[in-house]
Amino acid sequence: MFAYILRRLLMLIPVLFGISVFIFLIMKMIPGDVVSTILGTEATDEARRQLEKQFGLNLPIYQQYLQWMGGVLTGDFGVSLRTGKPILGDIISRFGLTLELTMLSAFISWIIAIPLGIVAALKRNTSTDFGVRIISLLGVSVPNFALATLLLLVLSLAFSYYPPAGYVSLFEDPMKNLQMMILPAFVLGTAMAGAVMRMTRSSILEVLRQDFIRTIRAKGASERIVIFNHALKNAMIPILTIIGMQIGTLLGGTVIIEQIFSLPGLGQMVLTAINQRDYPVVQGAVLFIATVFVLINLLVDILYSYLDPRITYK
Amino acid sequence: MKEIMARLKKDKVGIVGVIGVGLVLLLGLFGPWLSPHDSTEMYKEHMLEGPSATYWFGTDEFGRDIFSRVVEGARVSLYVGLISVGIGASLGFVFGLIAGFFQNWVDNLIMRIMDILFAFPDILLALTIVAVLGPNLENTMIAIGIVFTPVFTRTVRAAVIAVKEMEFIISAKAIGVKTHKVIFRHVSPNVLAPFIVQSTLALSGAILTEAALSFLGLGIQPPNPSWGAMLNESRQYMEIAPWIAIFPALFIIVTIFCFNLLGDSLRDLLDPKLK
Amino acid sequence: MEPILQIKDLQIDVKMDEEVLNVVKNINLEIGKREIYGIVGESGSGKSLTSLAIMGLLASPPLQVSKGEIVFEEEKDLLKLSPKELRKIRGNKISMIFQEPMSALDPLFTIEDQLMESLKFHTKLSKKEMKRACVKIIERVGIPRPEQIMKEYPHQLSGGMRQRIMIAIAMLCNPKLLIADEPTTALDVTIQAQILELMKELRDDFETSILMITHDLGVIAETCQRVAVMYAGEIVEETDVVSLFHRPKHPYTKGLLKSMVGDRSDALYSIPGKVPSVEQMPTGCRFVTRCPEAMDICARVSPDDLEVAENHRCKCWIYQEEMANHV
Repeated sequence: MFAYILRRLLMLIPVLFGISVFIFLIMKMIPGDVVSTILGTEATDEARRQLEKQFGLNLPIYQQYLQWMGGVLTGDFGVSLRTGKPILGDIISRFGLTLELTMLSAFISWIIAIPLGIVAALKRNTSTDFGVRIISLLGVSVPNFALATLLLLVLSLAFSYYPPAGYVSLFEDPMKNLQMMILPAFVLGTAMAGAVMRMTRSSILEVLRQDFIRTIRAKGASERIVIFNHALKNAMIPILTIIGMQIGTLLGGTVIIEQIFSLPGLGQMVLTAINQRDYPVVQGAVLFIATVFVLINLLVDILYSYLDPRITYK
Repeated sequence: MKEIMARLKKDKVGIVGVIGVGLVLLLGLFGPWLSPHDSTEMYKEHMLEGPSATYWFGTDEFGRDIFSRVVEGARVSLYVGLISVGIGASLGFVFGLIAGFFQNWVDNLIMRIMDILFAFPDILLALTIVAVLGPNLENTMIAIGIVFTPVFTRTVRAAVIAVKEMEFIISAKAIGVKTHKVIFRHVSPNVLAPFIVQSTLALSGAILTEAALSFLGLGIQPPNPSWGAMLNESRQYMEIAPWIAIFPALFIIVTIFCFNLLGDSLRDLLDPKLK
Repeated sequence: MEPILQIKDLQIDVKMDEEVLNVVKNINLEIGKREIYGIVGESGSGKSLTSLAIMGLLASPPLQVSKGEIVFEEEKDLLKLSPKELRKIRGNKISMIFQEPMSALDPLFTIEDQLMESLKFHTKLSKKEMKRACVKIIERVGIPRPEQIMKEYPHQLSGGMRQRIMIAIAMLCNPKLLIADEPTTALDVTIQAQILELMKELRDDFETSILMITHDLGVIAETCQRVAVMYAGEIVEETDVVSLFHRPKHPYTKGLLKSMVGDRSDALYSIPGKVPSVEQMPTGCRFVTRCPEAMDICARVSPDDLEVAENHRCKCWIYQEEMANHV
């Protein structure tokens, strides 16, 4: 098992390398140069050259990449063009919030989606099934920002409720933190729930068609045991795949949701950096998020092999 | 194809989807003739007015007619959606065909690049590309097109590989039909079914992504109307003028919902084992 | 002979979009204690549906038993039991093994889990006792190193081994009746013989009756005492094995025998045509479309089930006419 995880981690290296090259190159395509962004167009040649040297911009492009990567690997993501503060520290302090938001959303989506998916499968082709199908399609279709806006509108107009302002971390005041997070997490969770619901329904149906389910019934198992001990466990494998994919949607969604609910997370950091043209920050934060996404998918894969004895650790 | 149409007729959900998508398309096509006002004209003395006989959906903070803007927004949404899915689908079709047919190092290279693109959350990738290229209509479409390329590439590649194993392809090759002829004469039509489903679903995804980008101020730029941007602007005023939030939100939701209904029905029709 | 199971006038229908079609009809049979009773027929003959109906495992909807009785141990009509009562019998007094040993076991659970499950449903044994029972039954079905096998997953075993495990699960609670639905079809010829031999041994050891469902007359010849031939949802002939092979009455049975591999004629015979689909069932005798001896009346009226010799029933106009002439 350990060797398997290690091997999978090693296999990530080329992917992460590709990701970093991609981010680096795309950031190089920015029209205009960073130096003019900082100094303005009126700057003296002398000042420009000095700054170029400081950022290593006078070097050939592959050396610039190596320099950046060398920094990243030793924990130095560079400094923000705006604040001059190290980027990695900022990323890490904001990552906690984004991770909490993502996990909470994922959790909310499961507790909505999996039971509804099971019910839809068991009551296939009834009005219940139809209702679940519409709910899940709505979940997929309502953009998180539209749901958030409408939700805030309804809450403020009908209940005079406003989400508490001023972010408090989970460790300072768990109750208040949860109060702030529950609404954004719900908004993000519903979008993910739609896809998970569909997958739960179709994979439960798929499993129930299998021969071994008949064997279990022939043993005298109750429907409860057939569904929860056997069908659900077998269905979890495809459900996990979709969950892994949806985590990416969630992480992307945090960019929008953190903005709407004024949560100082990683998503908000990226957006602010983009608006301020603080490219080293964008570069670092995007690399970080993509890496997290890749690692979460690895985690899902490992969970997979834990669940399914047919997957060998070779 | 006839059989599919016959089955679609029986599927009520699919019909609702078709009608909804049709209405949105009509709105997009004939919008300018429908809207009573110019979408960017500011009626200064009518700011933040509620729905009325003159301004059906009310006016926004600049006194612009929301109905006209929503209608114009439909045009923008569909335009961006179609063009960006067009970009993603064409790139994906070409890459997928090449990768699936050759299944050698070219395939490997293409698929690894797609893996890299897949490693980014959709919105984040689109955001980054737009940020780099500069936010405007064309770049929004390019960014969304790139975001949707990997999914098309995978779909097409998988279909090509499946089709390649079929008897008639093997026999076509055996009797000496040239490789590229085999691809275009035989493989392409068989890849179409999953491709169409994917396109419908991608359309809703593209419209959603455009709205999200515009919502964040990195898509369609003002004063051009976009549902996402309208919704974003509405947030400051929505308590005193809820209509400026409600109408664009409703149109985004209904449009994406209808495309998803249609895509979903198509998927069930073309892949009945999921039903 | 004391019967363990009596099926009386069983009828199974399928409900399709408002339309109800018949798939199994007029099934009458009796399985004695310690008897191995065979049902033979092509796929689509309704033999598997009949066995699933006994277990109460018909996929309902769309399938449903619309008529008849299935009496177990001369007292309970299985069709009248509540789902809970039926569950107590299933896997306990009546158990079943299936055709596909490859897919008949849950891939995510160990052999031990899947054996223990049965005991958990039907006994109050302690965990230790359960384990001991599992080891014993695995040894009994001829698998060496039971302790080790119990920790393995289905995909680690061969097809033959899996079928032995299926038999072990089925025999675990000492059933009165074992239903074997094509138990050897998916296996190699040598393993087939071993499995059939094992089943005969178990019948003797456990005093279990076996209902053997198969399309293979070879399996019938090797194991059964009595046999029913099913065609298109009906029993067309029923008798003891010796009579069936030496004095077949129904044209369909004759055709089946002729198409057996053992018959060394030059070319392998096969009955022309195929089993009619549920939608296109002939109104008269269901075999009329493929019968070499069909008469005018066959297409119009369904023949009765007649006792054509001692302990020999057949459903065919040829004999009905004969009998009528005698009278």
